[in-house]
Amino acid sequence: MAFTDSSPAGLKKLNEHLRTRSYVEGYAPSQADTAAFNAIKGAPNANDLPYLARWYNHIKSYGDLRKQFPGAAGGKPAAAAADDDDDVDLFGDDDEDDNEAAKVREQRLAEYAAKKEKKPGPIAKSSIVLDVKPWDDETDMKAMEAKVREIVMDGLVWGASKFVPVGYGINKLQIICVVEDDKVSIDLLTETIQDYEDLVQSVDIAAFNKI
Amino acid sequence: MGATGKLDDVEIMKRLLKYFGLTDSLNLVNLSKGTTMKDVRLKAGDLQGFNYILIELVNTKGLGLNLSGRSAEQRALVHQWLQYNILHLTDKTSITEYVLKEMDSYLVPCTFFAGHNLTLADPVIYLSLYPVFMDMSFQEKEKYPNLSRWFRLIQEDSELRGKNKKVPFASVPLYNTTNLFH
Repeated sequence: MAFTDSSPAGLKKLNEHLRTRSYVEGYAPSQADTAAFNAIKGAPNANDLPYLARWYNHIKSYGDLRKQFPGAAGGKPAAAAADDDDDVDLFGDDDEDDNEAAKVREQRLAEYAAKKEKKPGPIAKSSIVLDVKPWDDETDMKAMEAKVREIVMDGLVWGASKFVPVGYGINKLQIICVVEDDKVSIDLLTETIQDYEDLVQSVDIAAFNKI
Repeated sequence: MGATGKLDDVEIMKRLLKYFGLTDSLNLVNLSKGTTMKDVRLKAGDLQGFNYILIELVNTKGLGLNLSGRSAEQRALVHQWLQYNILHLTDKTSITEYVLKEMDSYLVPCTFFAGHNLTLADPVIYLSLYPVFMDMSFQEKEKYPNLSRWFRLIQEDSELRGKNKKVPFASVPLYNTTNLFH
């Protein structure tokens, strides 16, 4: 995930992201939280960034358990903590772990890690068709397309595009892109496009296919 | 829910006790029809009120998950919210905009009602607020961003949710942010 930017703009973005979410990804703490947490230096100001501050304090309260959050961004692999479900983390209670089972699991994890190191797995990619709608028939569609194509992200490749009439002389831009799932957040991409407020009214995902 | 908007306390109390792993203790509580959270009693002894009964049962027979609070401060908060639930949330008609705003502002600095981990207060409040959230439009939900964020998290627990539907929330704020169309 893309939240390792500790500049004021990056923090603001993360703050907005956390406005509707309790964790960076999904409904339980994960390595995405740990990564974002480690990238932030010092507690955020609760007046300017209230949602970020709430999240920061929450993640901070886990202390060293942070390293054991599930997910695979550095640190241990989705590990020893708990495999049955996310709510175990909510209670922060994992003493009942059976030693034997833990040993077997560790061993399997080690084997799995060794295997994984030998051959890098295929990179998960998605092909996405985006509908970008202009404000009205006077919007310069060519300029809009150029703007959209200007967006550069690691793991993002733009493909073919065309203008599709929606009615009353208004066209929408349909554009194909291929993204690497691990590197590009679709939310972030659509938000970035919507940031061209002068040209873009809205962005929809018309089709989303895993490759 | 009757015409007055009163939730069925007996049903809710049963669900909560089961959720907290107290199915075995159901027969200790006098849950005859029409019993409310305020006047519910244990069959033996004179403990009255769902809050006290719940805390007592969780502490003595529960799963040992510290659901009633880990510190004295947190225990006090849990107690406060259980009380708040009884005072303001057990009757749907009394859940006013003011009450929702108050809860929303309380949730600005904390992920759960009593701090940083799930406690008794969260599932109890979830069940009280469920019918209210079901009736809300996206725009209304966005008026209480923190409360909505909390609700969205709590309802992910399928055991707690039971047959309740998942209330839909918009991931991206639609009505009152800077990059908008309205």
